[in-house]
Amino acid sequence: MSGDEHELIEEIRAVWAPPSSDPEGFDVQLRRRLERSQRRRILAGAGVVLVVAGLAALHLGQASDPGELPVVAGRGATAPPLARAVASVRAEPTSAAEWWDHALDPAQRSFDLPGEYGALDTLFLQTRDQEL
Amino acid sequence: MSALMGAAALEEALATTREQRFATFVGQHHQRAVRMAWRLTGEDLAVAEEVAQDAFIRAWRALPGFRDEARLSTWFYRILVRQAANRRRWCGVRQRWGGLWGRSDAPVAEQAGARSVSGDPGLRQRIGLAMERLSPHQRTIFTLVHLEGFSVAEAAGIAGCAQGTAKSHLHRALGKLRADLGRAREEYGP
Repeated sequence: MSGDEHELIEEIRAVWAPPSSDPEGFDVQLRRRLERSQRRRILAGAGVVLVVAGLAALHLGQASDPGELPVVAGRGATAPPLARAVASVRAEPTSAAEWWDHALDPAQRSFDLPGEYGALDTLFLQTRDQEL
Repeated sequence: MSALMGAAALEEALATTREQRFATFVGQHHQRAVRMAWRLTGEDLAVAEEVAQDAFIRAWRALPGFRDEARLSTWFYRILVRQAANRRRWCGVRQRWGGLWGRSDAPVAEQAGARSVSGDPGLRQRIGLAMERLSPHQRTIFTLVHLEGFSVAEAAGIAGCAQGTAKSHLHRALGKLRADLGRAREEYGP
């Protein structure tokens, strides 16, 4: 490196520098930001745990929901409306016994069964008897 | 049970050691980190402090996975250089979008004169403008080697390039600065 270049670098180094930064202010600010960042990470972690737990509960809930569905819905021509019926009451009752009571009681039933499937109540009863 | 307690105590001791080590590291490198960020991002002390803090926070988070393959400082300055590059990129985007909406931020080097505290604010501004004209790599390598005293090998490690490439950036940066500032000297006098 030539003398000229040395001189140029020295000049840049001497002139082109910031005023010194306050160590205490910097330290306080850094600590505050570190704490905030750790809190955010904890919250984000808790959020992820909640979402995963929610998804798992949803999955388990669906899996344990009327297990009767495959038994009943698999029977010939009655299957499609029955599957629709099951889907429509799925959210309301909580246990299998409640579900059956709900489905069999026309006063409680919140869905209409088409006339051509008049034997459906009998089918419900038969299936329930089998189940019980 | 005692083994468990021993493990917990060890973990706590390690965490304390880590905190102490980090605090010492911040104390040792704070001024240099801010100065380097200032030179890399464009002469605003508040921005430079923020960039340096971002780098320290990232380093703190990544510290458990850090292996002493490289020196801690080299590793930290690699993070700092990346943070500074991100900030410059972000400022560039803001300037472009600001221009699009009819609001334009003043170029960074132009702000230098107002903040200048040295004897010759004109010279400082000229240096700032000349540094702005360097490519990001040239500016980084020049700052690391000639202004911050890293070796070419260390600078290459920090900037993530080969030593030969670092030397080439250094050579070109010096040439450009000499031409720019030499011209300025002829125009404005020494």
